[in-house]
This record gives sequence, C-alpha cells and structure tokens, in this order.
Amino acid sequence: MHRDELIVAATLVAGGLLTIAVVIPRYVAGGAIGGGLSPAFMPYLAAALATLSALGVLLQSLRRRDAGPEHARLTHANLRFICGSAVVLGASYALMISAGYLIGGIVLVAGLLKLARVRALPLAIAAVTAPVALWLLFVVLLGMPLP
Amino acid sequence: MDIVLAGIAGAFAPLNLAFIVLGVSLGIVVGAIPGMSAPTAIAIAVPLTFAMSPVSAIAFLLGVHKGGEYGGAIASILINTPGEVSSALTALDGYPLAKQGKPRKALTISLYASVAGDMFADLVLILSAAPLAVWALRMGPPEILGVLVFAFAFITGLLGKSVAKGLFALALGLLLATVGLDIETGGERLTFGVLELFDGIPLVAVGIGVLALGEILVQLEEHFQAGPGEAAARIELGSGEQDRLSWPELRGCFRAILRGSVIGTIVGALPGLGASVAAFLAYGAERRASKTPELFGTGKIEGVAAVESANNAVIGSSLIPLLTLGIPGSATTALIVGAFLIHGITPGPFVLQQSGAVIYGLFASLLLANVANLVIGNLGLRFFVLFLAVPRPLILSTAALLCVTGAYVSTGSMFGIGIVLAFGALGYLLRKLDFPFVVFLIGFVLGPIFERALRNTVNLFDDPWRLATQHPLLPVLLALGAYTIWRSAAAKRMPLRNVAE
Repeated sequence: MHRDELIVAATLVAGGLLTIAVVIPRYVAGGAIGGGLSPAFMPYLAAALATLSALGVLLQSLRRRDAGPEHARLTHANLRFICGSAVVLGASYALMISAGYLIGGIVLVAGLLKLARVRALPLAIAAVTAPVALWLLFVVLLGMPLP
Repeated sequence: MDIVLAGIAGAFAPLNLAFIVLGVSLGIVVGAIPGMSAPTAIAIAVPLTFAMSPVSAIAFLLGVHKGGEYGGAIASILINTPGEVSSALTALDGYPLAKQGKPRKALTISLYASVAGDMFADLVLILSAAPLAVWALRMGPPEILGVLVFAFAFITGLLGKSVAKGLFALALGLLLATVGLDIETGGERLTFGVLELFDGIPLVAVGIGVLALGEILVQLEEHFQAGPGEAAARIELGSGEQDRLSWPELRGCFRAILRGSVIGTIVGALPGLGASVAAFLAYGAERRASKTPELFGTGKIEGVAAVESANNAVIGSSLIPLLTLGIPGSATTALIVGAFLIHGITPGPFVLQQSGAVIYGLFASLLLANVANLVIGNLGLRFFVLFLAVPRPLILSTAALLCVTGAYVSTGSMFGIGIVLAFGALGYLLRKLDFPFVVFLIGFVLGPIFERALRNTVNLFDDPWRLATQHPLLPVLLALGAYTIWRSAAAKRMPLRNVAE
C-alpha cells in the first residue's frame, strides 16, 4: 500500500534525525588531530545523506499518490512471516548459546521448514541430517570449532 | 618473472585443482537450484574457504561463481525458473528449445558460450590488470576520492528503481562502516561499549547476512504464503540426434558468442552494471544483428549463446576495477573482497606488488576453472539435472544453517551469528522495500577507503583552489558524479510520469 511506503520513509527520516541529534554526539568520541577532520565528520556526513535521501523517498511517495501499484509494501502476510522467522532465528540463537550447535541447528532448520509448510517426515529428516552433516564437515573434516 | 611462475605453480598444485573442481561443481549445483543465484552461492561458500590457502580460497570462490552462472542456465532452460535476471534471458530461447525436445542442444551451447565468454574476459583481465594498476598507482588521495565519488554515483544511479532509495542504501552502508575505533585518533565510534564492535562490523558476516540469509528468507516466504507445492517434476534429457549440437550450428553461434563476450567484458569492467545489463545488451545486439530477429524468443540458439557468453564474461572483467582500483562493482565482488581480506590481501593498485604470486596464481586458476567448467558441465549434466527435483525449502533451510555456521567460523564467537541474523533481517527488509542491497553492501565495503581518502585529502590541502588546480581530475570526477545522479534521477522519474499521465 501507498501508506506503507509513507510510514517507512517517515520512520527513516525520524531515525536519521535521531542519529544526528542524539546517537552521534553521544556515541562518537570527538576531537581531531591537528587540522584534520573530526572522527565524527564521516558519521555525520553519512547520517545527513541518509536523512536527506529518506526525505527524498518521503517526497517521492507523497507525489506518486495516484501513480498505480508500483511501490514497496509490507502486507499482513509479510508481517506474519517476519514474526515467525524472528521467533525461529531468535530461538535457535538462544539454543546455540545454551545447548550447543546441534540443538540450535535442528531448531533452525525445523523452524524454517515449518514456516515453508514442509510435511512432517521430510522436515524431521532434514532437520536432523543437515546440522549433523555440517557439524561433521566443519568440526571433523575441516577441524573448525563450532559452538 | 619468478613471481609469475610461482603463482602459476601454485595454481597447478593438486589441492588447488581439487578446490577449483569442487568450487565449479558446487556452483553448478547451487546455480541449478531454482531461485538460487551465483551471489547467493558465493555467500554460502565463503565460510568453507577459511581453512584454504589464499589462492585456493579465491580460486574456489571464482569457480563457484563461474559454475553458478552456468548452473543458472540449467534451471532456466529446463524448467523456465531462472534464479536471476541474467538467466531469465537465457530462458527466453532456451526454454522453447527444451519444449521442442532439444534441451541438450540448448544446455550444450549455453555451456560452450559460458566458457568462451569466461575465457575472453579472463584474458582481457590478465593482459590489462598490470598496466591499469601501474596507472592507478599514480593516483593520490584526491584522485581516489574522486573515483570513489563517481563510482558511488554511477552505482547508485544505475541500481534500483529510485535514486533516493539508492542514496539511502549507500549512506546506510557508509554509516555502518564507521562503527569501530577511529583510524586516526583511536576513539570509539558507534560501538555502544560493545567490545566486539571495536574492530568494526565484520564484513563477511554482513555479506553473508545481506546477500544470502536475506535472499533465503525472501524465498522461504514464498513457500510460507503459497503453501505446500507440488513435487518438482523429474527432468529427462533426450538422447536423439536432433538434440545434439552440430558443428554448423556451433559455427553459426561464433559471432553471437564473440559479440556477447565483448559486451560482457566491457559491462563487467564498469562498476555496478553486472551480468543482467550485459545479458540484456547482448541479447538486444544479437537480435538487431540477426537476419531473422522475429525468431528470437521461439528457440534460437544464438539468443542463448549471446546471453550466456555475456553474463559469464562479466565475472572476469568485474575483477578489473577490483584488482586495479580496489572497487568492487557488484555484490559478488564485494564478497570476494571479504575473502581477500580474510587471507590478508587488500585489493587495489598495490595488490600486484604486495601479493603478486597470489594474483598470478589467481589468474591461472581462473583459466583452469574455465576448463573445469567445460569438463564438469559436459560430463555431469545428467547428475546436475537431478538437483532440479530437490524441494527448494530443504535446500534453503540447510543454506540458512550454513550461513549461521559460516558466521561463527569467520568471527569465532556467537556475536558473529548475531550479526548475520541482524543483517539477514536487514537484507530481507531492503529487498521487500525496494532498496538496492548491493549499493548498501558496496557502501559498507568502500566506506573505510572513502573516509581515508577524504581525510588524507583534507590533511594535505587546506586550500580548495590549490587542490582543484593541482589535481584537476577530482573536480572533473565530482562534476561527472553529480551529472550521473541528476541524469539517473531524471530517467527514473520518466516512467512514473507516464504512469501518472
């Protein structure tokens, strides 16, 4: 929807202004050596360019109100997928830290296959074989440690 | 001369040859999987290179790239499911040929044209890299700054549907590239006190996240929305006489292959254009040159030959700006920069001086990879076709786990996995919202070089007039960059006006 692009562009402009006004002054150590550029110069330059171009996107989407269906959109289905994949990725990340690579890997592959609506049997086979195969490849064959 | 010989000897080492064969095979397999593209194949393959020598690692990745481009043609020709735009043009004539019962003919000409295009561009790269690097060595910080600004403008103007979105993606890449300790003062910049960020955000993890995981999430979402699909059909290759590529047919494609190779080489050497533009230009040129243009799109092998030679020629020539100026012109070369840096090699005008043996080994490996592509592509066709029948979600989810694994291997900590997941999400959103993710990645890769050139220029020259008169190339390139952005913005507004009218 047209509204989605407006919201995204407005959020980016607000994010850019916040970066310039709050984030860079607080999290970039100032003070240049000699007469050179300050360490904050490049972050300010990039943030200013990002804010101005986000403003450009905002103006563009305001201008093409009636220009047809050609604009970016995030539908409810997209948001459902984003939530689902965030849960899967977050859970597998937490499990890799707490229970190790194999358990985290099984949850990652199984979760993504579940999101892709794969049937139970191939899901189970792939969820077990893929992490085990990669573990064997990296740890046993290539001698690289995994979590 | 010793360096050249040492490089060539390194390329012919049995282990290096094995990695080239492995890379080409992996590239063809991943490229043949519907929806997967060569850059994704490379992003997935990067983690496997950590245990390799520099020559083997880069040769392996370039093998994946070359194999991936040819693999893309397999899916396009047999099931009309290209992984990227450049392969879509192969399908225009390749798929009709397959439907006419000539899939092997289409695949064979595609293989021969791919290898010929590769070979042509690699030879141009080998012959031009050293003279261009010598020329590039004469450039000081102001010239480097000008070249980078022009490259940014060129890439931003060309990629994506909107210049404003391209500029935003570039600025985001430049901003995130500043994270870490400042190169001059050592002060913290945007690290938020996180120790792991003091060295900056790891490039390989960012590349894997944006390029591979982002694409994997987009493709998994298609299955999420479409529901369980039908099992992929089993493809049978014919063995009849009419399905074989005859000598007169191959000879008839020579001009198409040469035209495609030249176009692909020129386009590949210009940052930002890539295989898709080369394929479009080559297809258009071939059609215009043909006596029967009306037959294009109905199964004309010259169409397949032109497109395949052009999109493969881009691979070799895209290394020209990378090795001579240090500018990666595409997503793939941005990832290859990551592989270079992992092995302690900084691409740019000094690379031939500092790592000559590796680069000459790389040149020899490029040519060997072409031979490997020809042999493996011919012998393994029946085997690679089997991968078309593997359900895509199974491969995508395994590839996602490989991304996560690669992030851990490259950074040695769970922090790397967090970076891949975060940048995977960013890659997904950039794609969904039509922001050119390649521009973001190039901004991120070139950010530190750009900043160094800018600061050195300011340190050396406090008088702009003196700067402009002593280094006239800088104002010329800045003006050209501004003009490119203005022209691109005007060109991209045009279709919008037409729609509005």
